[in-house]
This record gives sequence, structure tokens and C-alpha cells, in this order.
Amino acid sequence: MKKNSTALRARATRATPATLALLAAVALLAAPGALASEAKPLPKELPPFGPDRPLPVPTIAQSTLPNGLVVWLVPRPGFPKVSAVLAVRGGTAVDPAGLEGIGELLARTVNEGTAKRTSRQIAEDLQAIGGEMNVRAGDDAVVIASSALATGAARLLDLVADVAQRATFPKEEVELAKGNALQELAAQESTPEFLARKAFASAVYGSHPYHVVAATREVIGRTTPELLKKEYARRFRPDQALLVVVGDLSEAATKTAIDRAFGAWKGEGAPLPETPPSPPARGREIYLVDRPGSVQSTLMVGRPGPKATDPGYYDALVANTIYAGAFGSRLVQNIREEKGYTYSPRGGFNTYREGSLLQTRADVRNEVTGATLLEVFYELDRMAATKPTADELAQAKRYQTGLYLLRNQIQGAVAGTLAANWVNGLPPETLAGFVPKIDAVTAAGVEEAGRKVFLSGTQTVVVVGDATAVRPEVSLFGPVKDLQP
Amino acid sequence: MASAPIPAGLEVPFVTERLRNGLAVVVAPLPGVPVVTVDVTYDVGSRVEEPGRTGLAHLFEHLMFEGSERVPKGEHARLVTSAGGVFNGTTTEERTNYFATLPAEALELGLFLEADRMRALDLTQENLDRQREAVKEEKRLRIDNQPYGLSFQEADSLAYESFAYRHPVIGSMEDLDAASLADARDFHRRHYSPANALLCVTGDVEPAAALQAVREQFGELPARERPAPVEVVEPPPAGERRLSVTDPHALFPALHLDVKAPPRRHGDLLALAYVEKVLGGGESGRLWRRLVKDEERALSLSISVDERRGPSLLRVFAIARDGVGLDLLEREIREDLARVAGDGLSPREMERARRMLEADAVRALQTSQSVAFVLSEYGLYDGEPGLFRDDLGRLLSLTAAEVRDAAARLLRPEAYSVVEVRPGAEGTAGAEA
Repeated sequence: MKKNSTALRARATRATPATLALLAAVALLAAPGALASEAKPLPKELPPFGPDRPLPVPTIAQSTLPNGLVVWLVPRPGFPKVSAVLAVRGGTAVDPAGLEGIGELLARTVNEGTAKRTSRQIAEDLQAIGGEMNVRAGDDAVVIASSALATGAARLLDLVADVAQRATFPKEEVELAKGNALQELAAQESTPEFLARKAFASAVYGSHPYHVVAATREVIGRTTPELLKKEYARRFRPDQALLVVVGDLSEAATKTAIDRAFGAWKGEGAPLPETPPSPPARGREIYLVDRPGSVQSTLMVGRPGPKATDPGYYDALVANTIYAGAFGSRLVQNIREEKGYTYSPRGGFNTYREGSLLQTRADVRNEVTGATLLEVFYELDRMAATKPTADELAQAKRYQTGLYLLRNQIQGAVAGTLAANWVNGLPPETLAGFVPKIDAVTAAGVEEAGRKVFLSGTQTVVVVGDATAVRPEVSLFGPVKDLQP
Repeated sequence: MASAPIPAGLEVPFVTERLRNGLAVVVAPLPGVPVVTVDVTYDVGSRVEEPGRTGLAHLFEHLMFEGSERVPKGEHARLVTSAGGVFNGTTTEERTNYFATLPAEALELGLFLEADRMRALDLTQENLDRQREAVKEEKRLRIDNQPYGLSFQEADSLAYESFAYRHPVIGSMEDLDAASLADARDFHRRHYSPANALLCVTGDVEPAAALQAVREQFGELPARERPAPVEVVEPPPAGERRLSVTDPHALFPALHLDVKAPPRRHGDLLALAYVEKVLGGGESGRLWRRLVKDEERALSLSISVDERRGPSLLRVFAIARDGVGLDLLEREIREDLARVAGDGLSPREMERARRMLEADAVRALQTSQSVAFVLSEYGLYDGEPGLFRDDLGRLLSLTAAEVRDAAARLLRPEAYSVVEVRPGAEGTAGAEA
């Protein structure tokens, strides 16, 4: 079902392919058993695929301003829109001790007032060019993502530059953001998913900076405009920033606009510390978070994996797709289709600058908690002990490259991908290199990735559920440590 | 109302063809990324449903994923996903659509899957029973157990006279239970014929080759009669309507204020888009700013135009902050609507709204899938996909005087329907005329 909107303004959810994939999954999840487990013959009349068509390689004009700002311009003529993404190093991983998560509050408030514009003026100036601006903090960076009509490109860059250089953190805007953050935290804390993510991150990462999932109540309470200004000065500096502009733009005019808007930007003080390498896998450790009365348990199983710059990264990505990262993957087939333990198993693979994180998540009924863990371990070990079939490999590769192509239809996503690559230490050429690199993955490479990062004995396990009900099942797999929610 | 040229880059060239069996085909080549969208829209939505038979159109959307003669159950999802594509289906009051976006080399696969289920859907009692339960679960999950979920249905029922729009797309539990296999077969025969559908292919395709592929997959489907069109016509609004309901899932009181408006493509409805932008504007409009941000009276406020082939609605929905009365919230909203009807919008507001509407159109035309949605709607409802350009030109050239006059015609209390939602045990607290 879907509500009507206006065709020409059909953008209520800005349907990105990621959303689409999710929607598709939801549509299917609403229909348990839609996929028959028994093998049936494929239709003989099935049309074959046409010849592969490569993603056209975009031209990326690279330059660096005298103040150190790295600029990547990607002209995509013909469609009257521009997207500008400014990424600055320093996400929640550089939040000071006692202020873990303040990076998120920085992202919430940085575009709520500058020395030149009030929050309202920023909103109205964006409207006047058909623009949008969103700011997000990740573990490794704060990212301003913006877009506007192509005719407003110079004014958009001026707005982004204003936010990057002259944010003022007005007291009333900071108070409002703190109130909203507290409200959202309260809503999140009532979900087992959030409790599981928090426990999992601290179990996997210990004191490593990647353990931060969200600012606590105390950190939100402690946040002041002065602290935000200090964090802003540490992170928003041209020598640790990247500006990506994609769209219907003239290279020369855009460069002039960038020089004018960003040329006077200066950074001061010591550069941000490098984030230490992601810790190694800790071996099987099992944690239980009690959620009394829960009829379901939420399982998370996973460990750190390779960095995007490591050899074997793409092998691991394809391996994860075969294991649980896509519809029809092994774990989904096993515990959803064949055994019916859960509707929603999911194998995630997140990439950070200092490593990746593999994580399997499933919500299951209390009474099949142990049985589900058994199958998760079995499928993880199977990745190490056997090679994928030719079909599995081909399907996983097509899935990865297909979604990548879909995502790249949207110019804002291209800008976002380029910025994420930069944050993760990858050069701009990686944009065009993704599909060939996935295509080059072999069965032996997938098996190797299986041995390196999938073995079940190397995975951290978090179970959020009614401890009394599920402890006996969980303890079958090793000693259980209790964690406070 | 004058029309105007549309911004360069938004023309979207396309070709059309009607197959002998009546299937309308639109192909739009979009340069750039090698992906393709295959989108089939059937002219069947909940508006065609009769009392006692509600929910069938949406239930059918589920049944269409249960397999067809040459595509075993479950294979549709597996084939699209393992080709690197995504898919879905949606049902509204107006139509049901099915779409997949795939790497361009999988165009023929996408066409094959749609042709097979248009021709020979595998309708069995088992599939019907399973999907009926899935829909009931969806209703419980997404409507019955969501805060304010049912109140949107109450608001529709209050605003409309005709059964076509008074009943919810998801249908009622009783009607879903009563749907028989014979009903489902009859539904497919009547509504899922080539002549009642439009196939749109957008993306990295060569039009002649794509049309040839379409003819090969759909050309042999037998022609069937197209059902008689359903017109939804309502008497002019004759007085404000009010309803008060309770919602056990709501934490805070909320208010729906809906304004009855003309059908899609009507000039006055286009003008309401400016009102929506200036007042709501995706969290930066003046009413949003006043109620949510500056005065902190509302937790949220959304304004949207629910555009339909029959009478449309301007919808305002606001959730009150703790301790703020609904009467106060309602007064503020009504005053601002009255101000627009009286004074119109300022030149600067008009200009900002115009740029936002232009940017919305740009965003609505930026992917093969969103282009397919636009062309399919105009192609199916109006028989001419290119009319979207006319509407965009008309929309962007509206003047402040035209918007003010349209607002004065539409934003009148006798066209309002107001639903007050209060936290509390289930049930409707009472209705007033």
C-alpha cells in the first residue's frame, strides 16, 4: 500500500535503491512462506541476459586549494541538478572522553545558524534554490550532503561554505537539538535492536573509539554551545576536508565559486589524531542482555573484518552476500525458508576507515534461540570449509554490481559514494573500479575470506532477551557473560 | 492559466505503442547508468471495490507474487534479486503497479516476468489463504497497531461521500475473510487484462529494440474486454464536518484538518502545491516553523496534497505537544489557511515555493523508476504521457494572484473536515454533523 502523492512531486521518501531493496524485502517478509523451499524447475523459456554494459566511467576533476581542501568535481551534464557533499574527518571516533557521541549533536546543530545567517535564513536560502541540506556524523567523519537546482550551484556552495566556516551554535537551537536527541534516545532505548547494537559494539570494540553507538543522556545533558564550538574547530578545517560536487555544472565556473566560497577557510591547532586500527576478533565470547518478559530474542553475531584498502576486501564482501547478505543467501534460505525460525535474518557488512564489521542479526522466538545460533555457526563455518558453487558466486556478484549501478543513478548517491571512499582512504578511481573488482572475485577468494573472517569460533555473540528463558539455550555454546542494558 | 516552457533537461523523450491486445506501451530512453525499469500499472485500485468486497485490489497485489504458469512460486523474487535488481508493487485508491529496476542486460527477464503473470497467474486456494493472512498481518502491523494509523482512515471516511474513497485501501478484516478463490479469479479476469494496463520501460534502452522485446513477450497475450471506467464524483462541500476519536496507541492528541479539493490536473489543485510548500515546505514552511519550532505547540506538522482522479484533499496533520490543547492548535492552523485565502502569498514566498516545486520535479525525474511512475500515471489516466510537461509548465508559471484566487475558492470552512484524535481506549467518541 502506498499513499497518493503528486506524481511530479513523488518524493516523500526520496526512494534510493537501498530503500527499494528494503521495501522489496519488507513486501516479501509480509508474505511468509512465499518462497517455496522445494526445488522446482526453472522456466525453460527464461530469456538469457543480454551482454553486460559497463557503468560509464565518470571524469573526476581533482584539485586541492592552497588551504588544503581537496576538491573532486564530476560533471554530469543534461540533468538540471547539482549535489555537493562536504566531508570533514573526525566523526564520533574522535569525541573526547566523557563526551562520546557529541559528534552527533555537532551534526544536528552545525547548520542551525552562522555569523551571516539565522537558522531560518539558511532554510529560506535553501528554498530559494530548490535546495536541501542534511548533516550526519559517522564514526570517521561529519558529512554535509546537499543538493539544489543547477541554476543555484554557486549559492549552494556559498551556503555549505558558510556552515563549514562560520557556524555559531545559538543557545536556543542547541537546547532544541538536545531536547530532540533525548526524545529520540528514549524511543530507541525501548527497542531490543538498539540494546543489541550497543552491547555488540562495546563487546566487539571494547574501548576502541568505534564502540560509540549514540550519545548517552549524560553526554547530551553536558553538551553546551561552547563545547560544540570547540569540537567544530577541531574538525571543520580545510586540510582535513573533501568537497565533492556532482551534476550539471561547468568546471571552470564551479572552481571559481569554490575558490570564492572556500578560499579563505583556515584551520588551526593540531590535526586530529588518527583512529587506531580496529581491534582483532576476540574469539567466541557470548554476552546476554536481560530484557525480562521478552518473547523474542535479538541475536547479533559478528566481528571486525578487513579495511576497504586491504586485499581480500571485495572477497569478503561477496562472501557475505553468499552467506547472509541478500535475499536467497544461505542463512536466509536456511533459517527463514526451511526452518521458519525468523522472518528477518540479515548479514550486514559495514565499512569504516579502520576496518569493517560483519554482523548477522536475527529476531527469533525464545524457544528457537539455541537452534538459530547453531545454524548461524554452521553457515559461518561452511563459508570457511567449502567453496561456493558457480551459481552462488555468479548471483552474489550480480547482486552486488546491480545494486551498485542502481545506486549510481542518483547523482547525490554518486557524490556520497565518492565522499565515503575518501573517508575510508580510497582514491576517486574506486568509483569506476567497484564493478570490475567484484567481477574479479573467485571461488577461491571467497573461501579464503571464509577462513579469515567467517569461522564461527572467531565471532562475538550478543543475545538480548529474557535471560531466564534463553540462558540455558545460549549456554550450550560456551560461557555466558551478563551485560547491563 | 498560462503554460510555460519547462526547465531544460526535464523533457524526457519517449515513444508509445498500443499492442493489438490493447496493452499501452511507453518506452523512455534515459542516458547514463546501464539500468532499466519495467513498470506495469493496472487501472485498478480500491476505488473500483464495492461494499462487502473491500481490500481485494491490494490483496491482489500480494497474489501477483505467488507464481504464474512459467514462473514457480518464489522464483520472481529470486530471479530479480539474483540479477542484481530490486522490485516491489504498490496499491492506491487509483491503481496498482508492479515494478522492477534491473541491470540493463536483464530487460527481457523483467518483461518475461510481467507478461507471464498478466497472462496466467497461479491462483490457488492455498496462495489466497496465505496472502489473506499476510495482508491481515500487514493491516495489524501498519495500521491497527500504529499510533494514529486508524485515524487516517477515519479522516478519509469523514471527508468523502462516495464509497470509492470512503473505504480504506487495505479493506476490512470481514471482507478479506469473505474473499473467495472465485472472487480472485474473477478479479484477475476483469482487471488484469492487457487493455486495462500500461507497460512503461525506462532506462538505458534503445526504443526500437525495447519495443520489439515488448511485442515478443506481450504480443501474444489474448485481448480481453476493458472494464467500464469508474468515475468518482462528489457533491460540492456543503458544510464543515467534525469527528472526535480515541486512539489507544496515541501518546498525544492530534488533529487532522482536510480540505476537499478538485481532481488532479485541475488548476486550483496545482495552486495548492504553493500553499503546501509555503506553509509546510518539508519542515521549513512558515506554519511548521511557527507551530513546531518557534512556539513549540506541535511535535510535528505535515501538510500534503493527496492528489486523486476524483476529488483530492489538502491534508494537514499535527500532533500536539504535551499540554497544548487541540482547540488552540486548530485555531492556529485555520487562521493561517484563512490568511492565505485572504492575502495570498508574498512575492518572495511565491518565488521560494516555485523553486522548491521545480526541484521536486527534478527529483521526481532523476531515476528510471521515478520517471516510469510519472509517465505511467499520465499515460494510464490521460492517455498521453507527455501531459506531465504541460502540468509542470502550468505549475511553474502560476502567479501570486492565481494562487490567491484558487486559495480563496478552496480554503473555505465548509470544505473542511476535522478529526480530533485523543489518547484513550478504543472506539469513536462521537460524531457531529
